[in-house]
Amino acid sequence: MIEKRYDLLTKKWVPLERKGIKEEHLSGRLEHEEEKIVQGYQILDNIASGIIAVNLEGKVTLFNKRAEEIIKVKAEEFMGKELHAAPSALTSLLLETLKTGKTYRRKEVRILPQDILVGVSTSQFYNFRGEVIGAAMVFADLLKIKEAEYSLSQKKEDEFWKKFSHCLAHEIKNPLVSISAFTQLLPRYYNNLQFRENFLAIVSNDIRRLNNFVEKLINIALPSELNLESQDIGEVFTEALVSLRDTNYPQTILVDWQMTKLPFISFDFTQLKEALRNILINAIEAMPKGGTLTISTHPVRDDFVEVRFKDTSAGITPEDISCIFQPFFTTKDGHSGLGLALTKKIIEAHRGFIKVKSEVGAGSTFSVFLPAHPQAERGFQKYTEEEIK
Amino acid sequence: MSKRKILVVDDEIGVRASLRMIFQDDYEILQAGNGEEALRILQETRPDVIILDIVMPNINGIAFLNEIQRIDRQLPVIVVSAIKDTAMGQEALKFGAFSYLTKPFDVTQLQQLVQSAVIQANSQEGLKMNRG
Repeated sequence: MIEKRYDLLTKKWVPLERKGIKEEHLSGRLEHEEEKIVQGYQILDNIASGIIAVNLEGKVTLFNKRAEEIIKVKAEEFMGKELHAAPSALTSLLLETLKTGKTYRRKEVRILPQDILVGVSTSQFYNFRGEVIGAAMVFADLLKIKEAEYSLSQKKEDEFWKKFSHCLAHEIKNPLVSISAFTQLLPRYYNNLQFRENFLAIVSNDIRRLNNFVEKLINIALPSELNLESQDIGEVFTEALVSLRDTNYPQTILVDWQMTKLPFISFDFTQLKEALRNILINAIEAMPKGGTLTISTHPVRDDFVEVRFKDTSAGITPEDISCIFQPFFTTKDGHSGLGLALTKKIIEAHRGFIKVKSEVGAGSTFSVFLPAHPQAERGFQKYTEEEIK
Repeated sequence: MSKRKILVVDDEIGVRASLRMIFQDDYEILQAGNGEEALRILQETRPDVIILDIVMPNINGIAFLNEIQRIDRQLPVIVVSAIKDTAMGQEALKFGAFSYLTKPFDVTQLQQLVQSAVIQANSQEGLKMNRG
């Protein structure tokens, strides 16, 4: 027996008036049906979009809670009344759909005077015989959606600038320590030759470092043109390794050299050396307690040569792998996070690509693929990154 | 009387070398490029003051500051960093740092700070001895 009904206007359960209806007519089935309808209305009230429906006469039959919130009106002002009575950009769309059957999909509509931007979809609806019995519109607050999108991109931008300024602070202010201290102390120690010589060596080193940093930054943002020459890739390794001799890493790294004789390929010696050097530095620093770095070269079909760097580091987490080539990404506090970003740029400028496989606890493998022929575009297009395993 | 000792803990070789140049006339300079090295030095020697870069690879600066305090509560630590981070500076002071400076330094200010840190540490040492 039904005692209450759900009132669509007040959104409350109210006592049921049963004028002229004999109790026996209110069968269990009817009760069940009403509950289903009530459930449906409750769901409609709780979804994130506004919904307004009208019957054939253009009278409002549904006006959910979200619609009230978005347009900032009360449903009771509209329920059961003709929509013509409240002309607006929104209502005219719904009435047009009701009359002509024309539907709208995510049409942007500005509702005045509230000045609310909504995205509206409309459609007629039908009874089981296929006859039109009304029309409905679903709409969402676009401003809220746009705000959310904006705040997400803003968050990413903020994150970028935060990393960028941390990197700048570290890479510029540290070398500035020696330059600044030197200039402050120079008047006092001007006649002290040893002071001048010792400090000049430190300052020159820091000036070189500042310059290298700015060069790296510029090379990432504005890569210089490649000076391609057909040559032996083995030479680049030797030079890249030699250039690391002056660095003072305390750990011992065994380099296992497994080079196969490769045909000459076309590359920019200076730039490729920089790219490979950054991979070497990354590998060395990933093994602070020492380890083995296996460097090997492999021809890949006739189109590419692969240069593989396998280390015995602690490995990279899956989250970090997706970021390691992004500028300013670093897991090491004292680093600019520019090295691998620049490496990727250089390899890609050569129409090659770079792959990383890593497992936490099982080391990392960096594979650089470079096209074997000067007509690099052809080779690159022929085999995509996924095809070469 | 032997020179007072400063332990410089900074991963930047140029910064360590500059601090050596600034202080070498009046102090003996001990250098550590990372936390491990610093702890090793602290096991063997007691410096009069530490200049610690709080942002270094593989080290939580504040935790490391705590570690130093645990070894020797009286040891003054001047905390430095490249980034002016007021929150971190306050945090460092809360955890017992003597002072917080950002790079590059004003040489005179740093020299005065080191001097007053040494004086304060010695007077505390003296008080302890008097009480003891």
